[in-house]
Amino acid sequence: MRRYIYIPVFCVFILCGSCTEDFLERYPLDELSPNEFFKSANDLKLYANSFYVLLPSHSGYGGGTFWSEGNSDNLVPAVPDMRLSGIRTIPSSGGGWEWGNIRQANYFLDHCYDQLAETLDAEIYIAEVKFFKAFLYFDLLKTFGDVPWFTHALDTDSPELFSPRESRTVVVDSIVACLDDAIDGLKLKNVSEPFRINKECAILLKARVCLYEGTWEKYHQGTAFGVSGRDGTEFLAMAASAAEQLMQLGSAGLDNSGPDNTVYWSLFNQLDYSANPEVLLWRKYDVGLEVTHNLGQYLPNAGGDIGITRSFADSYLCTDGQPISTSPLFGGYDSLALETRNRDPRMAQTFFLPGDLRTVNRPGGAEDLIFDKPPLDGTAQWRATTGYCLYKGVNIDYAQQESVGWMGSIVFRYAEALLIYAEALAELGTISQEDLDISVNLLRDRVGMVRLDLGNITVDPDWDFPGLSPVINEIRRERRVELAFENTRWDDLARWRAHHLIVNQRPGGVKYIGSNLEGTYFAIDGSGDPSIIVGENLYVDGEGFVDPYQILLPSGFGFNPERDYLSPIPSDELTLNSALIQNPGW
Amino acid sequence: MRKKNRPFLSRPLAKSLPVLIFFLFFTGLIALPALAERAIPSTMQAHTVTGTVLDAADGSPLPGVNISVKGTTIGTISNPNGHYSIDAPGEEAILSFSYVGYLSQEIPVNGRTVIDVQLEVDAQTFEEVVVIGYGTQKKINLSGAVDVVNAKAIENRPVSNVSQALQGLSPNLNITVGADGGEVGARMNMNIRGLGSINGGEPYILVDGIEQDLYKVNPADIESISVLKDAAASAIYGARAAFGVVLVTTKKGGSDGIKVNYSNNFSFTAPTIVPHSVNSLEFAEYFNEACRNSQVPLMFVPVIIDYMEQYQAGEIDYWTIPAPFNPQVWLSYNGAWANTDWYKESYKQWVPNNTHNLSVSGGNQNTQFYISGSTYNQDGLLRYGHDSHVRNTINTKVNTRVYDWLRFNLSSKFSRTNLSRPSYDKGSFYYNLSRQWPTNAPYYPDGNLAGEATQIWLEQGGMYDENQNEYIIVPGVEIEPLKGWTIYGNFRWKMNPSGYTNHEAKVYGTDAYGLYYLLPPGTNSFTMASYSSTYSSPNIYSTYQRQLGAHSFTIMAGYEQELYKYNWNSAKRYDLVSDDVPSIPTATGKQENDGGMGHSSTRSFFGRLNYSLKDKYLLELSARYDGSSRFPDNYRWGLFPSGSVAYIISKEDFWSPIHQAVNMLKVRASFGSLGNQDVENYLYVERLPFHTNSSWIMGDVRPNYVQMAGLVSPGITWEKVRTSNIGIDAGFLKNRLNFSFDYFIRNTLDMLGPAESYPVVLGTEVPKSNNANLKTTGFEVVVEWRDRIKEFSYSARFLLADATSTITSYYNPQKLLSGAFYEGARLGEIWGYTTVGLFESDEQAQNPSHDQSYLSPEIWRAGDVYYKDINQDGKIDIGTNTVDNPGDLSIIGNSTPRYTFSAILGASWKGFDFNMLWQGVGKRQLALDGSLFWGIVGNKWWNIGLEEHMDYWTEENTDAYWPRPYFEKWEDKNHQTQTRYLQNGAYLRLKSLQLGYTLPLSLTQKVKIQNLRIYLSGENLLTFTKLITVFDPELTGGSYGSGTMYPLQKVLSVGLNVTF
Repeated sequence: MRRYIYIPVFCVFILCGSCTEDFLERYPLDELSPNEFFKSANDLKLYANSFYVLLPSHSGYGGGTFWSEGNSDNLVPAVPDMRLSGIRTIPSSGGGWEWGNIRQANYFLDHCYDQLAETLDAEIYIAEVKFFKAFLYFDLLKTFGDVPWFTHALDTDSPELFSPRESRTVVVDSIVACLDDAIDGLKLKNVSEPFRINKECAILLKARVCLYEGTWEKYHQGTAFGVSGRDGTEFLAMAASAAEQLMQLGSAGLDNSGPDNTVYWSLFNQLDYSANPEVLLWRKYDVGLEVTHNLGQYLPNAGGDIGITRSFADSYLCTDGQPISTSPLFGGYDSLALETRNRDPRMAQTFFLPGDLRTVNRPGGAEDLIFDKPPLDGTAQWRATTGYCLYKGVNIDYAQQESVGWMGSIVFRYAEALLIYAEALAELGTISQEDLDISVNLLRDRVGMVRLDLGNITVDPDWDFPGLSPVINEIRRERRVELAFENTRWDDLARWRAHHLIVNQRPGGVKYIGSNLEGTYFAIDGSGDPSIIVGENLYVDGEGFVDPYQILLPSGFGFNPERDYLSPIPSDELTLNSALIQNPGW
Repeated sequence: MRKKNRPFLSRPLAKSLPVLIFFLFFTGLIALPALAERAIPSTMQAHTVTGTVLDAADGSPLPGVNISVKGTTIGTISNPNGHYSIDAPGEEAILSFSYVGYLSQEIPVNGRTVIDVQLEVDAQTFEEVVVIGYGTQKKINLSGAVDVVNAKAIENRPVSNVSQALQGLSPNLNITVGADGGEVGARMNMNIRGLGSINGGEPYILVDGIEQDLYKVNPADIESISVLKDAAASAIYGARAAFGVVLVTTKKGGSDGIKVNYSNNFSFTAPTIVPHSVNSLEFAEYFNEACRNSQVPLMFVPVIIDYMEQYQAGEIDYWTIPAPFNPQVWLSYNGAWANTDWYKESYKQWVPNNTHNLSVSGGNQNTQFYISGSTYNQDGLLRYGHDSHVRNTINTKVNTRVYDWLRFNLSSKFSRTNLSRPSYDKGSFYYNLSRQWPTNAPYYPDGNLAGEATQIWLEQGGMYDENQNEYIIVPGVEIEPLKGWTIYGNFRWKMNPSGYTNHEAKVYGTDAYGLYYLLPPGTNSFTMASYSSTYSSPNIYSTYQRQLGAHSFTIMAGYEQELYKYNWNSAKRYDLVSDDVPSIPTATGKQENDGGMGHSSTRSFFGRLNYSLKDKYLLELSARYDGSSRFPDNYRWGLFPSGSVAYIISKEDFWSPIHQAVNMLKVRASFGSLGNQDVENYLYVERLPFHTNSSWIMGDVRPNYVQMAGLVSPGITWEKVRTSNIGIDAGFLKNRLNFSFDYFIRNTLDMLGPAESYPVVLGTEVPKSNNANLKTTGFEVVVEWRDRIKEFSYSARFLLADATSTITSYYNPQKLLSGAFYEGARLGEIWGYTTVGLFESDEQAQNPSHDQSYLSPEIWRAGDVYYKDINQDGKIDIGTNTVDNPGDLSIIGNSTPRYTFSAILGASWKGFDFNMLWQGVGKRQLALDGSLFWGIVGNKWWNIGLEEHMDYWTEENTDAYWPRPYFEKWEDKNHQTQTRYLQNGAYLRLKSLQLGYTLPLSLTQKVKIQNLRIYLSGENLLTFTKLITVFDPELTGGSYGSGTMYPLQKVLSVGLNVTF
C-alpha cells in the first residue's frame, strides 16, 4: 500500500511547485511604461533626441541637400519634376499626409509634466519638442495648406480623427505660438549643448515661417489659395522683427574667414562647423560611428544626371552691380570662362569652371584631377544635363570621395535671417539703405561684391518680377544667389506665386553650338569618333543652348497654377473622413 | 480490442507494430534466396520446423510470408505453396509470422516440428493505434479528424529537415516555402487547413509530448506523426492548438534484445531553376529600347556596343578599360562590355552533402532504451563565399518498471545546428543579383575582384556563424494505483542556449591603377551575440478506464502550466587588428552592446471523457480551461470545450451481407471551440520603445532615443476558433481499398488585428483588438489502395484537399481596398485591371474616349497595355478605391493554393522497393512583380534582362508578349496588376523518388547483419507548371520583388541502411 502514500505526496509536490500567486502576471522586463518615464530632464532629453533625424541633411546616395532643388527652376534632374510638369495624381494613401511625427510630439507634450521631479533644464527639452512640432507642421502647411491642428496625441476614440481642416491662419498662429514657447525655453547657442536646437534656430524658423505666410497671403490674395481678408502685413512685420531679434542678439554672424574668391565656396564643404559663427545647427558625420553619406562620390564628378539651369546662371549680377542684360562687363556665353568673368564672385564659387580642382590628395601620389569641361556626353550618372555643374558643396579631398564622406551638413545658417529681414521690410515697403547695409550688403561684402544701393538700382529689362519694385526684385535675386541649392527655391516660388517662371518654360543649359565646347567630345576608345551627336544624345535649342527637356517636355512645364501650389489629400483619407475637403483643383 | 484491459501505458508499445511488420516483411523477402542455407551455427541444438501458411478467410496458401525466430537474425519466407521450413535455435524458440495486410502472429515452438498457421486479414488501417493528445487511441475508435503519417514516408529522404519531408504527406497539412527560400537552414511555413487567422496560425508541434522545433529533430528518429485537424482532436490542447496539432513520436527500445542500426545518405544538390541572362548585346538593345521609349539618352552608346561585339567574337579579352575621364576607375555598367550570366555565376551545381545516423536500442521486459545520434552536413550553393548547415542530434529514451504499479521514464534530446554564411546582407545579395548587368564581370581584367559586384563582399566581407542548441529533458513517472487507473506526471524542461558571431571584414576594392581602396563602410567589426530561452512545464494527468458490459468509459483529467523565459544580448567591437583573427579581444575600437528579456506563461486544466457503446457508438467530450499571461487580468481565462460522435455502421448485424465488399464504414461528426493566444506579449501594456544609436551624432556619440508609446488594447483576449467537422472512413475489399473524407467549417472569431482603417491623422498604428472574424471551409479526401500479386506488392495513396477563407467581419466600413481586409474578402484575392491587349497603334492608344491618364499622365503609345474600361465611364481608374466603387478594378484571381494534392506510390518485388511522391497545387493565381518578372522596371539600376523578357514590344515585334519597356515613372503604364500578366501558379512536382535494394539475408547473415539496404533517391526531380520559366512555382516570394530568394534545390542521392 506504499503506493497510496506516494501518490498524494507526488501530486502535492507537483501542484505546490507550480502554484505561485501571480504566475500569470507577466509584465515587460526590459521596457518602460509612461508611468516609469518622464521623470527627469534626462528622460525628456532622450525623447527629444528622436526628432533630430527629421531635420533635412545629407543622406544616402546622391548629392544630399545640394540636389534638393530639382523641384524648381534652379536644377535640372534627368526626369522632370512631377509637380512642375503638372502630372501629379491623387494618391490613395501617402503623398506626404504623414502624422506619426506630429503624434510623437503631442504624446510628449501630453506627458512631459506628468511626474516631472526636476524642472531645471527640463524646459529646454520641452522647448525642443515644441520647436519640432512647429517644424513638422510647417511642412504640412507648405504641402497641404489648411490642415487640422492637434493639441494632444489622438486615440482611436478621439473625435478629432474626423475633424475638418483648420484655416492656414490658425495653423500658422499655432506654429508661431509653439515657436515663441520654444524661443523662451531654449538657450543661446553658445550655452546650449552642441548639435541641439538652440534659441537662434527657433528665432530663424519663426522668421522663416512668418515670411512664408506673409508673402503667401500677399501674393495669393484673391486666388483659391489666398486667405480672405488678409494681405500678409502682420506676418511680414513678425518676420522682420524675428529676423531683427536674431541680428541683434549678436551671438551669430557671417563666416568671413577666407579670401573673397573662396570664402563662400568653402563655407559648404567643411568637416566640422563647431566653431563657425554662421552655422546655427549642423549635422555631423563620422566614419567611426558609421554615419556617413555619399556626396563625395557624386558632386566632384560633375555629372550626376543633373545640372544647373541657365536661368539661375543668368541671375548673377556683374561686378558693376548691373545685370547681364545691361552690363558692359558681361562676357557672353561662348565659354564658361567668359560667362563667369566679371560676375558676382559667388558664381565662380557655385559653378564648376575649367581648371577647378576636383580631387586632390589621391593615393600613390597620383596627380590631382581637374575639371576640364562638363560631361555632356556621359550616360546615366556620368552625365551633366545642362553643362552647368555644381561646385558648391564639393570637397576635393580624395578621402571624402573614395567611398563614404563625412563632410558636415548645414541645417540652419545665419545668412538666411539677413535675407528674411531685407525681404520682409521690402515687402512692407519700409526698407531703408541702412536696413540693406546690415543685411544683404553684409553678404555682398563678404565676397567682395559691390553693394546694393537703394537709390541706384539698375533697371533690368529681364527682371523676373517686372510688376514689383526694383528693391524686391534685387532682394529676391540676392536670395536666389546666396541660398542657391539649399532647398529654399521651391518654397520661394510658391509663396511668391511665381508660376510664370515655370509654366510653359523649359530649363536651359550652357551654350553648345558655337561655344568652345562644340566638337571637343570624343569616344573613349581613341578612335576619334565624336561622342556627342546633337539630336541624339544632346538636344540644343535654336540659339545653340543645351535644351535638356526638348523631347520630354516639348511645350515646357505643365504646372497648373489653379491646382499645383498645394498637394492633393490622399483619396482614402477623404473617404475615411467626410469632413475633409480636397484642395482646389484636385 | 485485445488490449482493452491492459494498463494505459502499454498502448504506445503497440503502435510500433506496423513498423515491425514492415520491417519483418522486408527481412523476409531478402531471406528467400537464403532458404537453402542454414542458419548460422549455434551452440544450441538446431530444431527444424516446417509447415504451411494459409489465409484464414479462404484457406488459400500465402506465399512470401516472413517467418523469423524472435530475438535472432534467423528468418525465411514461405514458398509459392505457402510452405516454409526454418531452423530454430532450440525447442523453446518463438516463431513470428508476418505478412503485409495480415495480422502478425507469434507462436512458441514448444518442441513441435510442424506448425501450420492461418493468418487473419488485418483491419490494419483501423486497428492501428494512433497517438492522440495525452494518450493513444485505436484508429477505428477515433471520432475526430486525425491523420497519421508513417515514418516510412519520411525515412531516407535527402531533405534538410522534417518539414520538407512532410510536404504532401497529409491532406491539408500545407507546407510551403518560407521567407528564406532554399537557403541552408531555411524554415518553411506550415498550416493545417489553410490560414487560420489573419494573425497567422501555425500548428502546435509536439515531439514526444513537448513543444519542439521540427528543424531540430532528426528525421531518422521519427516513428510516427499524427496530424490532429479538427477541434475535437486538438481541443485537449486548448489555447495552444487553435490551428491543429502535429504530434511526432520518436522511436523507443523494444524488449527483445539489442539492435544496432546505421544509415547514411550522400546527396548532391543543384538549384531547381536558374534564370538565364541574355547576352550583353541583347541586354544593351533592350535597355536602349527602354531609353528610346522613355525619351532619355541611350544608355549604351555605339562604341560600347562595338566593344561588346568584339568581346563576344573573341577579338578582345578585356571587358573594361580605365575610364578616360578618370583613368583611376574602371568603366562599368553602361560603360563596360562583359557578358556575364550572373545567376549561373553565383550558384554552384551538384554540391555534395551527407547524413549519418546511428542508433542502438533494445531492452528487456522491465527496461527499454533507445539511443541515437545523427549528423547532417549540408553545403550551400554559393559559388562566391561559402554557406553551410550542420545539424547534430542525440536522442535518448529510457523506460523502466520498478513495481507493477510504478514506472519511471526519462527522455532527453540534444540538437545542435550550425549555420554559416557570408555576413554580407543576404537580402541585398538576392536583390543585387536581380538587377545585375551582364556587362559587368566578377573580376577586372587585372584579375582583381570587381568592386561593383557583390561577389567581392561574399568573398572578403567576413562570415556569419550561428549555432542553435536545444536541450530537452523530460523525467516522468507513471503510477497505477488500481487496475485501469493511471497517473502520469512529468516535468518538461527545455533550454535553447544559442548564439551567433558576425564578422564584418574590411573589403578592399582595387582601382584601375591596381591600388587598394576601402569599400564602404570602411570599418571592420566583430559581433558576438547569445540568445537563450527556457521553457519549464510541470504536467500531471490521470486516466481511468472501465468496461461495464457493453459500456466502455475512459476518463482523463489533468493540469499543466508553462513558463517561457527568454533573454538575449550582443556585444560588438569595431576596428579589428586583423581580419584573420576576428574576435572581441582582438578588436580595439568602439564598443556596442544590446540585450533584452521577456517572459510569458500559461496555466491549464483539461479533461476528456470517452464513451463507447458496443464499440459501435462512440462519444468523446473534452474541455480545457486556459489562462494566459498575454491577456489582461479580466480577459485572461478561456474555456474551450469540444465534442464528437462516431457511428461504426459496419459493426451492425445488418451489415454482414456486404461486409465482404465494404468491411468498414464509419461516420463521424465533431464540434469544438479552441483559443488562440499566439500574439505578442504585453499587448495590453503601454510601452515606450527605447532605441540606441540615433544617426544624429551629438558630440562624439550616437545618442539613445525614446519614442512614443503605441496605442494599446486594454481589453484584448483570446481569438476563438470554432470548428465543425464531418467525416467518413471506409474500408473495401479486405481493406485493400481505403477511403476517408472530411469536410469542415472553421470560424475564427474575435481575431486580433491587424489594424482597422482609421484616418492617418491618428499618427500611430491602430492597436490590435478582437475585431475580426474569418470563416474557412474545405475538405480532405484520402484514397488508398494496397495489394500484392505474388511477390509483387504495391500501394497507392492519393490525397486531395482544399481550404478557402473569407473575412466575415472586419472594421473597414467604407470597404477600402487599401485597408488590410474588408467584410466579404476572400483571403488571397487579387484585385487588378482586365487587359484587352497591347495597343496596336498610337491613334488607338490616344483615343480620347478611353482615358488611361489616371495610371500615367504620359503619352500612351502603340505597344502599351490596353486596359478594359469595365465600368464604361470612359476612363481607367480605381473609382473610390472601395469594393463598391472599384473603378475598373475587379477580382482577377486568388493566390491561395487550391486543391492541393499528392500521390504516394510504392511497390516492392523481392529485394527491390520503389517509392514515389508527387505533390502539387491544382489551382492558384499569382500576380508577380519585380525585375525578375518584368525585366525592366522603374529606375534604371533596378533591372535585369533574362531570356524570358526578350519578347517585348517594338515596332518590329508588334505581336509581343511583354509591353513596350520603360524606365522610371513610365512603367506605371504597363506594370499594373492585370489579367494579361497574371500567372498560373498551379504545379505538379515529383517531390521524391526512391529506389532501394535489400541484399539477401544469405549474404548479410554471414557478417551478422540482419538487414542491409542500399538505395538511390531524389527530390524535386520533375516539375510541370505553366508558370513563366524564370520562377520555381514554390518560390515566387521575396522582399525585393518576386523570386528574389535563394533557389530551391533538386537532389540526387545514394544511401545505405544497415541493421545488426
